[in-house]
Amino acid sequence: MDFQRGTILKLNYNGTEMKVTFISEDQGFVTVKLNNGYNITVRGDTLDIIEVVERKGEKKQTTHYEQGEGIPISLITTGGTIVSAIDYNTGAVHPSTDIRGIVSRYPYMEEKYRITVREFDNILSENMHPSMWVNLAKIIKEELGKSGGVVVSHGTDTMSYTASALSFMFDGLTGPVVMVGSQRSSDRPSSDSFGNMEGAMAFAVTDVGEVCISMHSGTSDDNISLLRGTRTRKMHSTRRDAFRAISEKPLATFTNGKTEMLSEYEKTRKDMSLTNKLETKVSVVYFHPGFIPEDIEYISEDKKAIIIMGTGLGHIAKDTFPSLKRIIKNGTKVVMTTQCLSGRVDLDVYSTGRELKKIGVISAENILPEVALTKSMFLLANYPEEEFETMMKRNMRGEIVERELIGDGYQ
Amino acid sequence: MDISENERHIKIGLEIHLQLRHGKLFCRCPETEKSEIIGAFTRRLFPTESESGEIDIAAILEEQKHVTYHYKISDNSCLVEADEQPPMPINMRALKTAVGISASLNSNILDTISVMRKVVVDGSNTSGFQRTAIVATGGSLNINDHSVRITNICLEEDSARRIEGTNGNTTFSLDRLGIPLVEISTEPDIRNFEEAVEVAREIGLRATLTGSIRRESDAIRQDVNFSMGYGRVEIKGISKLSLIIESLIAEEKRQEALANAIKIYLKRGSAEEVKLLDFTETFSNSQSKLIRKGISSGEKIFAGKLDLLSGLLKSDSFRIGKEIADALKLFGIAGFLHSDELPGYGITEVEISKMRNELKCNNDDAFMLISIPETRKAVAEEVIITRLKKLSSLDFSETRAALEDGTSRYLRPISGSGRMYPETDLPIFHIEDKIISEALVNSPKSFKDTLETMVRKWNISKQDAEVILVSGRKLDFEDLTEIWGQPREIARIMLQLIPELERKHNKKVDPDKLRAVIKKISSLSYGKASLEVALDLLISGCKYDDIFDPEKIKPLNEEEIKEIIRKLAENTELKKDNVIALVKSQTKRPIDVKLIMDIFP
Repeated sequence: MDFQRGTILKLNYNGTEMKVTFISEDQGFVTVKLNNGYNITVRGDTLDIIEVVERKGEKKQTTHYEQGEGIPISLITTGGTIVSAIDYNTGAVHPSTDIRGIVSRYPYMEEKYRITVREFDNILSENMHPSMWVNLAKIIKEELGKSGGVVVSHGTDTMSYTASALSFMFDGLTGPVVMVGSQRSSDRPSSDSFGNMEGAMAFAVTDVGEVCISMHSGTSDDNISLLRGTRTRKMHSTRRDAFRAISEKPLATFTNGKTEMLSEYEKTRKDMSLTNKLETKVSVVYFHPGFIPEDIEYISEDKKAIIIMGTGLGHIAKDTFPSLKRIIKNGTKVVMTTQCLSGRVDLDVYSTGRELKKIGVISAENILPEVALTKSMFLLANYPEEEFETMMKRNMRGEIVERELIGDGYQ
Repeated sequence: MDISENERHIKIGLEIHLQLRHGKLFCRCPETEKSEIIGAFTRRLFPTESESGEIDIAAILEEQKHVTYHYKISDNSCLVEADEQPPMPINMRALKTAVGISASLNSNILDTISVMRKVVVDGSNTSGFQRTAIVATGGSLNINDHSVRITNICLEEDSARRIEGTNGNTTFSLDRLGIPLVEISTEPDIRNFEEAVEVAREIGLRATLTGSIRRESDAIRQDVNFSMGYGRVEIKGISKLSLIIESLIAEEKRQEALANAIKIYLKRGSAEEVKLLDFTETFSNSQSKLIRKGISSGEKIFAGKLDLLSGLLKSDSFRIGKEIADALKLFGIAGFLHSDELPGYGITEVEISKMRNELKCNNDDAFMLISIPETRKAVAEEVIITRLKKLSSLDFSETRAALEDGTSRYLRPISGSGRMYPETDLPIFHIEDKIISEALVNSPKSFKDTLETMVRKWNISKQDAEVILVSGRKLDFEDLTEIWGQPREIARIMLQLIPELERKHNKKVDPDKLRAVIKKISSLSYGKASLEVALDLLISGCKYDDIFDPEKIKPLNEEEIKEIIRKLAENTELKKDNVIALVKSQTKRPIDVKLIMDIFP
């Protein structure tokens, strides 16, 4: 049954004559749309086609939106759920929607901001690569030269990796760089895209000179959080409020059209400096009981640094120590973070920690494991090797929380 | 679309919705909530494009209302109902039930289930769509030797229950959201109002025979499709069979009067626009309470000419005024006054003639008076003229909500096919042949058949079987009989003992605990007398663990009974007709009466 999608057919099914729209065929099963909008999928040989009525045109073009007159904002799109819609041929969701369709849901935004859209890429964020962070940084710099702020739409899976990598590459920003994503695709009436974008635009005209993330604060649509790029993690696979600041408060919230600052932050500066070099030979190792000591050597081969996600205060089993010694002797940096995510690595409390310290393992303090990864990439590419440990422990972009307070972030 | 009397013929079709038991459709939550509300959240919804790039008209209309939706989280809901997690695979028991009902109505069961999203942005679904799938197409039902064709049988999720709504805010509970619904829709083959009730009753009964329909009062809801020549009107949510006829009579009357009014209106001409002018100044000293209330709350008083509508808004049977008011209400505009009902409401003759003059009203023209915030003026004008133009086309097709008094109110335009698109979170699912063949064997063919099978299989009275079937408790009966082993005893417990105990203690029994008690007594092999005591304790509100105190429910054994009889015989003369009462008076524990008679010499 070889029809173009959208072809109207008159056919007989189980003795009932009906007019349907052809959708697709897959392995002998044919999907057609009934007049009432329902799709049914049945064995092709049970359909008796009486007449091919007409071939229907392709989907209508999306409307073109005029640019507003207000504060200039650059919107850079990289793909992800926020620009995803159903592919009616395969039935799967993939990035395709016109981002302006999201902005236009709040007509006031078109007036308040002058939004220029720049397409960087159109991928699902698990396919993001450090080389793309470098290119993205260049484009952000260009756009900040023209706009008051930059909004980057991004898939949520690796959004916090991108945010932290960008954070390190920029030393000072002339305008906010706000990353935004969504957990429900924009083709759903209940999508969180619209609210997250509204918040992102509002944050993009503040004086926050950091790379941040704008997502739902809770499950309700009425509160959007601005989260620091180096302290944020996706903590739920599906919820709208998946993004959480770890061990600190959000920088700001957006509620009922108003932005409220909650924490101290780097202010925007007159000049910005971009160091867009990253060393990609870095990996993360997750330790677990039964971990095979040699594995850490395999993964460390040809690496400039490895980030270990250790247990508790930053521990791994004794039987890995000989391997660690060999790795460090070969010049690979070994950085210790904690699987607990919240709380500090401390290599002084237990003998295991002291031993690790002696071997030359570097404590990442309370830097999140993924952030230790991007920070290592940045340090290895831009600082002399002997400064690595000092810089890792120096708070460069808010990645280290100096004072972890009761009641902040960890609940 | 003018029709003369002899061309008119009535067409009626039905959509019957039946809530199923055995848990929600796309998550593993139970269908019944146990406790209070455990939280709340708020959301907004935005209409989106369908496969064909169209946005559904009903959805656009809904967005313009700018409503914030509030949801109360019930304990029988999880992340799926909160739209925070993709749907889980379809509930197989629900699917089997739907397949069984389909087989019972000779409907052709599809090879596959393609779950669709039906866009509904009135807040009743947190996702902004209702998940629905066709399970079977075609089929028929014979009523009075007349065949009524079945269009489709769908399995879908029930919507959230609306708790309250005020301007711009609507609150729902998540308790009902996601309960499986079987929707059976018929072709418009029904010939008269009485037949509509018979068809609805027969479909309801046929489904109830499966024992998988919920027993709550609102578990079965009817939508009626009615047309008498002015387009199809869908009346949604008739909760009682008895209201079907009333709804149909009211709708026929409404359309008849409306058509007559519109025909007069069209003869006079028709209106192109409605312009509302600010009359706040004019009414600044008005004695009308309505007007004063509006002004004091910061609203403006607007007046507008309604061309050629004098006498048609509200006089005799003409009610175009109500049609406009219903449409405005949907946009949060509470109501208006019009010239057919004035003077009145504190509006004086002087004020009326002033308005007539300034609005340049001719004899046939009506006018209206409305108190709204300035920002709502454009919406009000648009809503009024849109409604008038639609009615002037003599195409009255629309969706209406059934009211408890048998009438209905305008809800939205009929949604088009543009509101359906595939549920991409769920792959197309093949129905196994095994499920279909099982369904064909087990599905209720007719009431008579099912009744006979039941009597034969369990050896219970025809009367008991009938009550169990009609009340939808076949599965409960079979389940409990499976545990207890005595079908007649279970029938008596279900149909007599429990209702008696519920009346005595004025409490409802918890079905899960009932099942647990029967299971426990059965495992202790205590017998019927103990079970009866245990059930009395359960329904009285006794703490669950205390029910099984041996001092209360362990039946007396032969030795213990002999001992009591021996002691009694020392002081009393025991006879056949007093021995049972006397033995019983000596203990609180249950006694098998037969055992006493066996022992008593």
